[in-house]
Amino acid sequence: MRLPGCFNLRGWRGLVAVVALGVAAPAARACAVCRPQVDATVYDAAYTTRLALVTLPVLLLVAGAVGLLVADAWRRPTYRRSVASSAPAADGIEPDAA
Amino acid sequence: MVSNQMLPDARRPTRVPLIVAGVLLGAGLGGFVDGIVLHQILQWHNLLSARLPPDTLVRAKVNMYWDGVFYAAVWLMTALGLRLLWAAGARPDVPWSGQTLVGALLLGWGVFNVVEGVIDHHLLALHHVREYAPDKLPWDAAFLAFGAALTFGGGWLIRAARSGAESKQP
Repeated sequence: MRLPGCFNLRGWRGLVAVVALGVAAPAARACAVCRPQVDATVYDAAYTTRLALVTLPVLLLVAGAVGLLVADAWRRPTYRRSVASSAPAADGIEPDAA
Repeated sequence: MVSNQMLPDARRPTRVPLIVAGVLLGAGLGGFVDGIVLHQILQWHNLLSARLPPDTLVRAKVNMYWDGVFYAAVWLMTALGLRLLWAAGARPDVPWSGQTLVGALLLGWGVFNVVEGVIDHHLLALHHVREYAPDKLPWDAAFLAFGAALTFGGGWLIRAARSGAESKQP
């Protein structure tokens, strides 16, 4: 049986059909019945709590990594001196003079 | 103003920026392995599958949403690791060592597994490694053990890279 031309997915018509399907499919999957239930379950009163719980391991790792970088920079005397010497001295004594 | 007497200290080599970048990259890639292999391909669990079992289409879609949030967070961590790696590569005081980077990648993957395992599997019970197994504890324990092995292996590689670098110095 020969299919109509619109079902022939070769060539540029096929490319257009695949792209059109990709554009239309998400709308087709967001069915009118289940989508409101999904939205109501995702965006309920516990949303912020769940967001915090889901991202907690990542946040801890990033905080630890940033802490290590800051600690390494702070341990290096030049960094400490440059920060200290950039601040205005309240007593008129230069930090490097100590 | 920076004192000239302190400049040699500024040039003292430090591996910390390379290690931190590698740890974040390894943790991010490890998170993707967890999500892609255990969530999507094997379908052993989802991020909230112990709290919200995906036994209906609506619940499955809600779990997909929170898996997506997890991926977004892990993607950001990976991007940050890449940015820090780029910055470390531009610093003359950071020794460029493939062994250190591989060790940091393994360390990051292992630390991610341990932190995620302890928090999500045991403390918060958001999900378990094999959600639908009758006995979940051995799988959770194996996941932690794998993470600990990666952590020790990565730490060993980093330490070996340091002693290797020291032995090469004249």
